[in-house]
Amino acid sequence: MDFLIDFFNLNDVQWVPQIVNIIWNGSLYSLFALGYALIFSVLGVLNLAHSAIFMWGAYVGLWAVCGNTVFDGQCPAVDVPVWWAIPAAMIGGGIIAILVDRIAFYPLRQRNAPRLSQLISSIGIAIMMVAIAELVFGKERLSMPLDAIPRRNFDIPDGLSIENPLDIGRIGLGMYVAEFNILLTPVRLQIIVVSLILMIFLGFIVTQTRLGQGMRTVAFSERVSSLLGVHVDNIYMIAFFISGALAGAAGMLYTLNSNVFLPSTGSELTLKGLTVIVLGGLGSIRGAVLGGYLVAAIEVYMVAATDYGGLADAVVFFLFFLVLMFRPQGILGQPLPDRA
Amino acid sequence: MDTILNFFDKILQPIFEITTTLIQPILDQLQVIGLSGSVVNFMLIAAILGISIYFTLYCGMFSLANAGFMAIGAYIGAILTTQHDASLGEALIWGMFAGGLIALIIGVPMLRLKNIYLAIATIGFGEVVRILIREFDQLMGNLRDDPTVGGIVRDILGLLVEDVDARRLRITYGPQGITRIPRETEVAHLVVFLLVLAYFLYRFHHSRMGRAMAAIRQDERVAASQGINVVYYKNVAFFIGAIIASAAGVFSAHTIGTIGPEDYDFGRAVDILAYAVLGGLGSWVGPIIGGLTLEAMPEILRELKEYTGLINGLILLLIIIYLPGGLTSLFRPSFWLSRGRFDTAQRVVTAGIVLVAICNVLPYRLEAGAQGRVLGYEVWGLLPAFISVGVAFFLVQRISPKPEGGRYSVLLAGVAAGVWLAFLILGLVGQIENVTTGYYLHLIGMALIVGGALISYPPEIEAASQRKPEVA
Amino acid sequence: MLSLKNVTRYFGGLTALNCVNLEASAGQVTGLIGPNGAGKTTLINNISGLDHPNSGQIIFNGHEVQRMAPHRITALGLARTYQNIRLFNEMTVLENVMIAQHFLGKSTLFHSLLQLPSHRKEERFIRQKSLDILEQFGLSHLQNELASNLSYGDQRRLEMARALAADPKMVLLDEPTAGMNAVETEQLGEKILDMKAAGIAVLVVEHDMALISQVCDIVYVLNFGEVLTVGTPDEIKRDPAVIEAYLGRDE
Ligand SMILES: Nc1ncnc2c1ncn2[C@@H]1O[C@H](COP(=O)(O)OP(=O)(O)OP(=O)(O)O)[C@@H](O)[C@H]1O
Ligand SMILES: [Mg+2]
Repeated sequence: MDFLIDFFNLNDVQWVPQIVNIIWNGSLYSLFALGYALIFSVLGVLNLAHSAIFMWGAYVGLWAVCGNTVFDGQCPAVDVPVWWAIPAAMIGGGIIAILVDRIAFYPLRQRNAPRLSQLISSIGIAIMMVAIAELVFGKERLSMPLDAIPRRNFDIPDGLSIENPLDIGRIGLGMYVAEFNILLTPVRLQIIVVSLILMIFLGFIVTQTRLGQGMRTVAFSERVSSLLGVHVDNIYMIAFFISGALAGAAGMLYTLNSNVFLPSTGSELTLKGLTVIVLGGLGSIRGAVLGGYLVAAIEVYMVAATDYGGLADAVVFFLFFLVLMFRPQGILGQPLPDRA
Repeated sequence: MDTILNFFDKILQPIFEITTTLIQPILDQLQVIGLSGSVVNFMLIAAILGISIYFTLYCGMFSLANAGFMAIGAYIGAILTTQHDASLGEALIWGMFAGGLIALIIGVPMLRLKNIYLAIATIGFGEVVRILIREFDQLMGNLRDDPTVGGIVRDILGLLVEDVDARRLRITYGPQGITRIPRETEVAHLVVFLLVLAYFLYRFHHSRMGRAMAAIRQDERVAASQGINVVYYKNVAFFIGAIIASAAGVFSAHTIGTIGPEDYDFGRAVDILAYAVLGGLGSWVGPIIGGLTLEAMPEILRELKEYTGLINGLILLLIIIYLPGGLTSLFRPSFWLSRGRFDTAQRVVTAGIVLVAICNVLPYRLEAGAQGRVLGYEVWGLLPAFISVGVAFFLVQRISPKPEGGRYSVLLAGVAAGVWLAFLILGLVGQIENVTTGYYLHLIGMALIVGGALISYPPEIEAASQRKPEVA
Repeated sequence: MLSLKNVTRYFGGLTALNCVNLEASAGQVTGLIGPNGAGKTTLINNISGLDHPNSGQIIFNGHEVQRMAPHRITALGLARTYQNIRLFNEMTVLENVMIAQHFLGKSTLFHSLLQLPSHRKEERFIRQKSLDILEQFGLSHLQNELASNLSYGDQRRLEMARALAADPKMVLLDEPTAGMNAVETEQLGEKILDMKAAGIAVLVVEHDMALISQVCDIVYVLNFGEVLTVGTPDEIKRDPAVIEAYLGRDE
C-alpha cells in the first residue's frame, strides 16, 4: 500500500476534496455520455452532434430563465429560480435532438446508407448548429448575473439550528466542507444529485419498462422488431428525445457551474464523451457511467498528483487505445456483433 | 545525402520555373475573383489533403488520422527549417519520413479495427498527437533529467535541437507553437506535387493495387478469399495517406509561417474528410475538386463569410444525404440516368449546386468589371459548363429512353455549353467590354442548364431497374 | 486434396461443427447435404479461412490451413462461391474476374506508375485470361456491365467464373443453384462435371437431390454439426437416418 502511494505520488494529495472533484466531474461526464451511449446502443451510430445538443440545451435553459434578452447577447437579470433552467434545457435538448434525427439521420436510414454516412452527417449538422448558435446568440460569451447562481462554497449558514432535523444535513455538510477544505458549491452538489437521479431513471426505463424492452429489441434488429409489432420510428424518436434531454441537463449543469455560455461550449466534450463511452463499453449504459467516473478520476489524478496535468487527455486517449485494441467492447460492454 | 539533394535541385528547379511561367496567367485570373497569395496555396494543400484521405477511404477504411499526420509533418518540417537551416526539400523528405514511420508503427495494431471502431481510434490518435505536441517540451524536459531514461531521450532530442541541455527545452514551443517559419512554399511546388499525385492516383485506379483496395472496400471477406492480403493493403493505404498528409503539413507550415497544436484538432480532421466527401470517391478528380472548392468558397463568397460554418455544415449534410457520390458524380452519365426514388432529391441538389455556382459568380462579376476584366469569374462558370457538356454528351451518346425530354435537354444543354464557351472565348480575346452583356449571357446560360438538368431525368427508367430476388 | 480431422467450432453455447471428419480428392465431386442450420456454410467458411475452428485439423493440398489467413489458403489453390451471392458490385464483370487473379500477378504500383512493359504484359495476360473464362460462362457480352446490373442467374454464373479464374485445385460451392430453375440447374450440373473432368476437386453444398445424384461421387450428410452418414448418392437416399433428419426439419 505504501509502495503504491509512493508510486502514484499520492502522499501530498488531499484525498477528500479530490474525491469530491472526481464525483462531480464524473457525474457530468456520465450524464453527457449516457445520451451518446443510448443512441449508439439503439441505432448503432455515433451522434457527434450530441455536444451541439448539449450546448443548445444550455442556451435554451438560459433563455427560459433570462428571457428574450439572450438574443441580444446579454442576460441582465434572472427573475425566476435559476434551477428552472434545468427542466427547460431538458425539454429543449430533447426536441432539438428529435430535429437532429429527422434532418441528419432519418433520410439516411430510409436509404439504408452505410452507418459511417450517418457519422458524417452528424458532423455536418453539428457544425451547422454551432454556426446557428453563433448567429442567434452571438460569438461573445454570455453569463448570468453573478447573484443569480449561488456560487459560494457551502459553509455553516447562520441561523441554522441543530434542533431542526432539516438543518442537520446542511450543517453537517458545511462542517465537512470546512474541515476538509472542499470546494463544493451548490451547483456542484446539484450536478451530483441530478445526475444520479437521471441515471437511475434511465436505468429504470431501459431495464424495467416496455419502452426499454422495445429499445433493446430495436437495437438487436430493426426488422425483427417491426415483425414483433414494435413501432420502430416511435422508438427512435423517444430514444432521441431522452438522449437530448440528458444532453440538455448536462449542458445546463455544466454552464451553471462555469457561468459561461458560448457556442463552442461542449466541443471539447465531443471527444471526451467518446472516450467515456468507449472505455465503459460502446452502447452500454452502465459502461457510460463507469467510464465517466474513470475519465474524471484520471484527469483529477493527473492534475493533482503529477506535473503532467496537460497530459491528462493524452493518458485518457492512450487508455482508450488499449481498450479498443484489446477489448473493443469496453470494460463493461457485451461483445457486440459487427454492426457498423 | 547532399549530393542527392543537389541532383534533385538541378532537375526540379527548371521544372518549377517552367510551371511558374505556365500557371501565371491562371493565377492572374484567380486574383480577379479574390483568390490570391496564400489562398491559392491553401486550396492546393486542401486538394493534397483530400487525396491523402482518399486512399484510406478507397480501401474502405474510415480514418480521421490525417490531421495528426499533417501535424507531424508540419512540426518536423518547421523544426528542421527554423532550427537547422534545412531547405524546404529536406524538410519535406524528413516530414514525410516521420509521418510514414509512425503510420507503419501504429497501423498494424490500429487497422485491425473496423468501421466505427477504427474511426474512433483514429480520432483518438489525432488527439494524442496534438496533446503530445503541446506538452512535448515540458514532458521531454522532465524525461531528459530523469536518471533512467535520460540518456536515450537526450539522443533522440539531439536529432531535433542542438542545445539538448537548455534549461527550458524549446522544440514545439507548447501551446504558442512555432513562429517565424520561412514561408518558402511556392505555388509551383504545390502544383507540381499535386500533378504528380494526380498522375499517381490516376494510375492507381487501374493498377493491381487499386483493384485490390477497391475489392477490400466492397467486401473485405470476399476479397480475402479471392487471395488478397487484406492486412497488407490496408497498411499500405494508411501509409500512403500518412505520407501525403505529412507532406501537406510541411507545405502548409511553410505557407502560413506559424503553427500551433490547435491547428490540427478534430475540426481539421473533419475538414479533410469534407474535401473527400464533397468531391466524391468515384474518380481521382474528386478529392482535388473537393479540396479546391471547399477552400476557395469562403474567399469567393466573401459576402457570406459570416455564414461559412453554416454553409460548410450544410454542404456536408446535403452531399452525404443527397449526393453520396460527391460532386464528381455529376460528371457521370450514370448519375443523370439515375433511377429510384431519390432522383427528386438529386434534382433539387443539382439545382442547388447550380445556384451556388451562380452565387459564386455574381458578386465577382461586378468587381471584375470594375477592373476591366470579364474573364476572371468565368472560371467559376466553367463548373456548370462542364456539367452541361456532360449532360449533352451523355444524351447524345445514348438515345434517351424518353425522347421528348431527352431531345429538349440535349438542345438546352448544348446551347448552354455553347453560350459558355463562346463567352469564355470572347472574354479571352478581350471582345466583351460591356459587363452587363456578359451578365445576361451568364444568366441565360444558367437558366438553360437548370432547365436541362431538370428535364434530362427520365423517370421511366425507374421501371427498368432490375430488382434481384432476395435470397436469405 | 482436402482432409478434415475432428474439426469443431462453437459459437457461444452452440456447437456448429462437432468433430467433423471429411475427405475430398481431386477429380471427384463431394456432396455435402443437411437441413438448414446443420453447419454446412460454417464448414466451408472454416476450410476457406474466413472462420477458424476451435479445435481439429484441416489439411489442404499438404498444408495445415486451420489457422491460415484466407488469402494464403487461396494461394494454395482453393476457390469458393457464396450461398448469398457476394460479387464486387461496384466493379464491372470483367474486373470481378480479374480480381481473382490478383495473387498470380507480381506488378506493383511502381510498375504501373512507370508503365513498365512487364506490367502491361501482365495486365494484358490477366485480361485475356479473364475474357476467356467469361466466354466459357457465356458472359463475355456483359464484360463492361457493373456486376450489380446483372440478372440473378448471370450473377451466379459470374461467381462461378470468378472462382475458376485462378486455376484452383479445389472449388467449394455453397448452394450454387439456389434460386435457379430446373434448366439452369441442369446446365450448372454440366459445368460441375466439366470441372471434375479437368481434375479439380469439387465440394458442393446442395439441397437439390437431383443435382446431387447428377454430379456427386460421394455425399456427406451433416446434421446438428455432426456427420450423420457418408455414401454414394443412392445409398444416402435410402438411408433412414437421413430421411428422418430431413423430415424432422419439416415438423
Ligand atoms: N458467426 C456466427 N455466429 C453465431 N452463430 C453462427 C455464426 N455462423 C453460423 N452460426 C450458427 O451456426 C449454425 C450453422 O449455420 P450454417 O450457416 O453453417 O448452416 P447451414 O447448414 O449453412 O444452413 P443453411 O442451409 O440455412 O445455409 C446456425 O445455427 C447458425 O445460426
Ligand atoms: Mg448455409
